[in-house]
Amino acid sequence: MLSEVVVATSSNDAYIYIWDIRSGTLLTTFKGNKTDTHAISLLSPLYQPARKAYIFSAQNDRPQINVWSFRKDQLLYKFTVPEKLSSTVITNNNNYFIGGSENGRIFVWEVTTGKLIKIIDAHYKAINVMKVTSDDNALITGSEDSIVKVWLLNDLIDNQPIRNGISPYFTWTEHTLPITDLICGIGLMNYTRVVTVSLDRSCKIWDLSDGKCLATIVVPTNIRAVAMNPTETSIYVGGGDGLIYSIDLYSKSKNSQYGSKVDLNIYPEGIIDFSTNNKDAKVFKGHNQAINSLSCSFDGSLLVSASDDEKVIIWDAESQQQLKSFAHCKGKITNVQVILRPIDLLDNQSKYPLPIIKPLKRYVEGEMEGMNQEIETQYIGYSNVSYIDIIK
Amino acid sequence: MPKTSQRKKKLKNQDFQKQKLKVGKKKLAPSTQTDISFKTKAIYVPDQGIVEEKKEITSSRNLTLKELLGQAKHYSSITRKDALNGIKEIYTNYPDEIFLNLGTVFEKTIPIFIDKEPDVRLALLQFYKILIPDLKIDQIKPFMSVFMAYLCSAMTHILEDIRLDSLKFLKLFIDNFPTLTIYYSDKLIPNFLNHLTGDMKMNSKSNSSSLSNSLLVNPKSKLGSTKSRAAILTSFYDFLSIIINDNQNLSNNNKNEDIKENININWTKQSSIQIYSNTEHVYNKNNDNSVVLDIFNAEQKSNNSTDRIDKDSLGISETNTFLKTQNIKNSYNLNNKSQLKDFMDILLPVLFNCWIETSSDAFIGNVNFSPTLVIIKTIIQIQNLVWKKYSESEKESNEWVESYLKLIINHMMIYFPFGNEKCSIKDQKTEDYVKEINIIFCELLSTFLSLNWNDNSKLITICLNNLMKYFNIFFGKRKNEKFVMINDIKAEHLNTLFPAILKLINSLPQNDSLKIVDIISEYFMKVHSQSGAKRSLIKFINQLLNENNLFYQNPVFFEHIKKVFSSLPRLMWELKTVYLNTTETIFDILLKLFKFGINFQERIQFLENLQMTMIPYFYVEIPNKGSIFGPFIQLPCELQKKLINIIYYFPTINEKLFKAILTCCKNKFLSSETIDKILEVFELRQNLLFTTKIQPQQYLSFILTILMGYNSNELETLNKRYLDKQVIPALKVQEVLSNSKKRKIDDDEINAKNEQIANIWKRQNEINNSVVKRLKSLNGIPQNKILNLLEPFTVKVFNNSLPDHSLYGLVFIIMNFIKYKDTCSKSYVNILCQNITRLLESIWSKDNYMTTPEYKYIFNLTKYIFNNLYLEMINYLSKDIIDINKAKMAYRLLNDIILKLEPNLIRKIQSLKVMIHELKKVLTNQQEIDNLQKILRFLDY
Repeated sequence: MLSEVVVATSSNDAYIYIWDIRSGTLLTTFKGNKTDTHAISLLSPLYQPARKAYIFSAQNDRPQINVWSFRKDQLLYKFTVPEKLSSTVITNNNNYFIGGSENGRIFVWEVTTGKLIKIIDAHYKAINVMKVTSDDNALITGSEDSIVKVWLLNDLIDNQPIRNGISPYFTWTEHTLPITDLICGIGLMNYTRVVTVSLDRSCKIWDLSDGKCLATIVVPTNIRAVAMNPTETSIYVGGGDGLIYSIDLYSKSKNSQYGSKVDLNIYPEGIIDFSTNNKDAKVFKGHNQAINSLSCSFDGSLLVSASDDEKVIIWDAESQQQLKSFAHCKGKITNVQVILRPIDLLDNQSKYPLPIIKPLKRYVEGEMEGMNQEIETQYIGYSNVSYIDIIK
Repeated sequence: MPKTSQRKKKLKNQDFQKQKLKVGKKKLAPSTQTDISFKTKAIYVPDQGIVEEKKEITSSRNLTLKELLGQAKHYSSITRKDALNGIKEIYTNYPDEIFLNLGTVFEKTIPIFIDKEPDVRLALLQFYKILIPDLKIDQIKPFMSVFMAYLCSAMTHILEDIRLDSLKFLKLFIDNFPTLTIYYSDKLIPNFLNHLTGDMKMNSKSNSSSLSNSLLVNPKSKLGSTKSRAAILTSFYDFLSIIINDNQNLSNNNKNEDIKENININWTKQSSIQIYSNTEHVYNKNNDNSVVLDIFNAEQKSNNSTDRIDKDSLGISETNTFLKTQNIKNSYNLNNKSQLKDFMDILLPVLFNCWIETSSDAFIGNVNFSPTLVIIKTIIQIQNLVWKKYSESEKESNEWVESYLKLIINHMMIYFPFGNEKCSIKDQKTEDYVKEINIIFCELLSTFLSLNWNDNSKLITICLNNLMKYFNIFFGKRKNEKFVMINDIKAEHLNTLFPAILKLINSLPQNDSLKIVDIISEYFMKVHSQSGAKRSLIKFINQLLNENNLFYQNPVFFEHIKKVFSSLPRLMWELKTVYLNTTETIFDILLKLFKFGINFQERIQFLENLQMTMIPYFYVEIPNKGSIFGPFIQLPCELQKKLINIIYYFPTINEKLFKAILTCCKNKFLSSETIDKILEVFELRQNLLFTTKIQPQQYLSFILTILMGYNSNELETLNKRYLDKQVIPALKVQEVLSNSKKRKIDDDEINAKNEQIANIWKRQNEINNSVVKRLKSLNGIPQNKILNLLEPFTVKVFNNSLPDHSLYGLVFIIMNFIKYKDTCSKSYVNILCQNITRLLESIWSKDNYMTTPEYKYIFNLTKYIFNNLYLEMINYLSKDIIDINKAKMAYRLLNDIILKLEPNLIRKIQSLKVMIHELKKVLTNQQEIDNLQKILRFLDY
């Protein structure tokens, strides 16, 4: 039976916790991990995007990536990488592992060979968050220097010399303080909306087809995390004050004659009244320190939040009520991610194949000799999207 | 006896003959009878009286609209004119009458476009000038085709003054209904060119270096005069700019597909017969869907090229009649590159001809403001327009462009900069005009420069040299290495030039762009800070930083513009709060500098200096003059927040700046929202890994000072004035600190004071919340340790006489952490109770304390206190209850608050009962004692 689990990591408690979000039972823990927000990514086997097999977690105290398989609760690999990574992401086709360093560099590895394909100087400061559009067309990076950049993934993995200057497809400089989180919607790149949040209290929605800002929403505190429900109708932003604010992008208005009608909500000057006087404001109250990470369940009914106050809370997204709260953790919780329960969880004899991974290389091949060799990379199309197309 | 004639006899007899009556015949009428029957016929004498009242609306000459319209076709020109004036009059008085009969009015008046009498046309123009701007677009739409038909007829009329007047009518439509007018561009544009060339002999060779077109050169002709040519060109420019700009608007906004179809200028060049191609519209609809478009365009391109060959071959045998029969399809879609090119091939030679004709005498000798200048300006403007459009679609240069650039250099550039030393300009107006021409020409050149050229193209070097030369003159003259300012540069001049400069800087090699940067920064330093030029320069610099990140990455570039940056803090101080937009732009620039500069080691010193210069913007203390708050306090909240963001990026925080900000925060005019933001940014900074932080001790005292709103010196002053730990009302504190004298207070002032007090408390409450948030997330300190942390500080502060709202603030934050009271010492809890009592006493001691503004805050607080601290409070109060004041206090507490707690909870408290017994002994008022008795009974229940 399918069930959903949450993977939670901490920055100073050395465990990765895996809970079932409906029943609340602690399924297992993986030991030996200290990771910051957005520095954990999960790898799936090829063409099985929903089934997660490996955890790649960048350590916050050393330039190292720890890898676990869901089959065994022991550390599988330790890869040493050139720089301490502050954020990581794996493309949806599970071919590339991309890391953003604390010096603003992007590293691209090929997962199956471990080759380091590309290094780019992308930002002035640490890259806080990276996301890939669901068609693997673009990589979006948000940085401590308050800039969001959109890169075409094709540019990052082409056969050009390794240190060739690549210019971003879009550069968004409207935020004034560091970007803390971003999410991108579902769909092909040109139909995707991106939500970025920043410490400057604003949350901006962007259109990836023309790179324009569609809306700016201001909340009363600095924002640390953001999540969007699967239908892309509501945005949840987690604040530095421990509150989670829910922003409805659409509203349903009843019209007696023609049934109900859905309108795009337009907030005057992007400011929503979240003050205590406003009874309609949707605020999740329960944490008392900064929210670090938010995640929605697959059907959008549950919201999972992680906070500095060492708690993970599962909320009913519609009513803002706490359903469960996990307080096993002894440190700031930095990441929560809701995934389908891996089919081979703690099953060492599982018959399901695992993806091939090789140790990530520290150096670019051939660069040691001072040569810019062409690196052959195979780009295996758009993972989920094209696969569905093929079936059709 | 004379013989009587036969006839006479007969006559005689006749008289006496008796008429016989016959049966069946009427009786004859007697001869004496007079015929009384008669007939009438009416004659019409037109009524000339102006006094007669007509039922319909009439003009002042008592003519109805119907009559007037009839007269519009009168054979006498004077009557026609009067009729039009009459209609105008009716319109001014009774607009509805015209609106109701709009169709007939237009039907009758439009033909007057081609009236032979100038006065009549003038009258019509005057009428239309007031009528047309009032019409809605829907009202005029049905008549537009008629308008345009007559307008075209007028434009091609054999009488030249009719042609000239037609432009005035056209202008009216262009001004009021641009979107409607461009529907008819296919008909109008050929007419324009006819105006210029005078005949149909337009031989548009694709290679236009041979200027074979003949201009209309008829010395007697009015059309050839410079004045009318200027009019034609300006009108043409207006028209063209609408079409092209409209295209741009539409391409940005692809919703209005209906209007989009009109992007085409469909017109046949030689004949006025034109053919619409329906396919064209279909292509246009797909114009934005990139892939499909390319295919279609490719097709069109091939079509067009064959078309062009036709033209050329036909052009050789210049027989108009033959051409007319051919009906060449010739539609120009200006969004299509090749079609635009064709269009330009036709247009540009004509323009060059005009230029050559007029320019020769324009800039020699005395230059006065004359139509010649207008022509020159308009020609450049039109060129500018089409080339800009061209450069949007095509980035590469080619021979075709080069050939035109060559023409520009040969014919136009030789005069550039226009109005230079060779000629003299007398009056200011002309000089301004010439300057404008120069600026537009620069824009034109920069459009060319923005295309990709071979590096060593001669043409380009010529252009660059000329531009540089002009910029040197424009921004100021250099004499003996000294920079002499030109003061009269207007902001709008700069605004038109900036795109040109921006393009130059972006496209030139580094050395050349550095030169320009130098010129600009030199100019920037000289120009007065309050001037519009400075403001637009600031905007420009911001744009420069946005588009070109060389300026913070490349150290060389940075060096060159550094001076400008370092002058910014001073500038924003000088601007005060007058130009908020500019101030905001400066904030943006500073933010960028700090955000991106921090990685460069060599720049740290510069940033520190910049930070130092920013201090006066907040607050500064000058030995002689005392303390001065900078403009920061008066800024709107949004801007304050924006500036505060910069603090996040400071490499280190300067001691002085820190104090200046603190002083600002203590100022009660600074909104609590901004204070919240300041605290937040400082907190975020403290949590950062790599920056130099403020010492934790200092940071804590920063927070607490903001909470208190007074620093230790001020508290000292209060102590001197009020001995023994009094609690002082907020307003009195301000009086004491500002040393103002006491006056008598009347009712109005009391009301005002109530408001003031309410504001102070509200602000304090918001600050409290914000401070609590900050304390909860103090880096590395768990929440249960916070009380311990606060203990030494609070004990010290509690020993002073305190303003009431500060005391409230302190108690408030302690109450937020009172859950952890077990961690602190007994004596501290005691001190706490003592101070809570102090606070409550001071509030409750006022008359009608329930109505004071601070009551609701205190009331909320007391509930909180007694939920967490009731035992301690009761213990403290019952300790020396003998004191009558204290007893009263205890009674009040008991009555107001303790009894509102959970009854089961209070019943368990033994010490409470003991206290009540004690109270009974002390209190004297019988009612109070009875009340206590009741309470006791209730407790024992």
